[in-house]
Amino acid sequence: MKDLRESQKGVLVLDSGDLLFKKYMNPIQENELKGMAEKAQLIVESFNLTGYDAIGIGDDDLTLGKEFLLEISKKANFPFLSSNLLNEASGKVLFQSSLIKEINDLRIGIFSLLSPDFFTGPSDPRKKGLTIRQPIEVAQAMVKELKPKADLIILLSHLGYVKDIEMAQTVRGINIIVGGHSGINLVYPPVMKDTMILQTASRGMFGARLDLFFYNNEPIFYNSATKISLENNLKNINQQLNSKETPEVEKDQWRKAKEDTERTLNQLRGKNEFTNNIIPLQDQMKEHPDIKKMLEAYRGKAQATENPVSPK
Amino acid sequence: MKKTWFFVSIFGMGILLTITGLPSYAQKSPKTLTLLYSNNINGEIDPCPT
Repeated sequence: MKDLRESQKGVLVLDSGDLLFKKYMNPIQENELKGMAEKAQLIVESFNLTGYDAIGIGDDDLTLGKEFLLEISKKANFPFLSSNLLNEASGKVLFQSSLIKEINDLRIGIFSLLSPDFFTGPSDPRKKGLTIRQPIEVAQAMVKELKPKADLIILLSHLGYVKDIEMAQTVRGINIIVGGHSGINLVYPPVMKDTMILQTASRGMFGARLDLFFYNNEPIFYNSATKISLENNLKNINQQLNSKETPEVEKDQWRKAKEDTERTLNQLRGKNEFTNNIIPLQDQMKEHPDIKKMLEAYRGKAQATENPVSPK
Repeated sequence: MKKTWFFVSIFGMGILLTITGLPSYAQKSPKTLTLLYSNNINGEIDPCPT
């Protein structure tokens, strides 16, 4: 990520939540708390070095409570975003609700939503002192607010894939949903009502990269793979039409297929494109020297805590 | 007279092409944006085997 940032203009790095802790299991043992806090801090520091631009908040990020999350967010060089997480007492948003980034002459509006459905009820300790507003209602308000200021609107969604589909179908004006919580690998991201939905598998198994190509100012994109597939189809159709072995009766059908394919390709001309790549990180990741040092120090400390040297 | 009109038309077309540019059928080089994204890292500090 760092190499790409340094070699290429126009890179945005985002995470859609459930970053800091393992999947929530209640109750948490008292002796686990310190280790969990230290690991969360290590992750935030390594995200600082990697150069993240913003992260959304997931339900599991609240495992140690809102005060801990607020405190650790101050150590990040990037904002923790949430547009629908409110302080129960004051009714005000707890974290920054949106962000505008200017990259390559593009103004990008980013906001984030968390689902209220992922908590086990009012007694869930992660929800203590919090109110979570209804995502659809907040999304409509955020789009209204961001639209005049942004060329592209991105939602960091911690709503789950099914709700992401509902969001795309209900709220117009969100161009990209970077989804989370479900942990499914969307290699071919669906585009619904001009909203693209992204998501990758859990636990850092894959690195995901979306490249957008703007040929016009309308932020609507189609998958480049569609064009490549149509161009290949056209080659095959032409081969059939030029072959002496193709019976004349079939050629009419091939001509019709050729017309349809060419028409679809013409419709794509001048429209904005995207490519999406999801790559296993295990073999690809280049170690960052400073992160490596931090990891070694963390592991050394964790080992010393687990196996203390007994006094002689 | 016909010859003069012919040269005037050619000259006019030349001026027009200079102003509007030659027609091109290739797509212009686009603006680009690369988005690197992650979700549900769930406290992992090593990449997990796939």
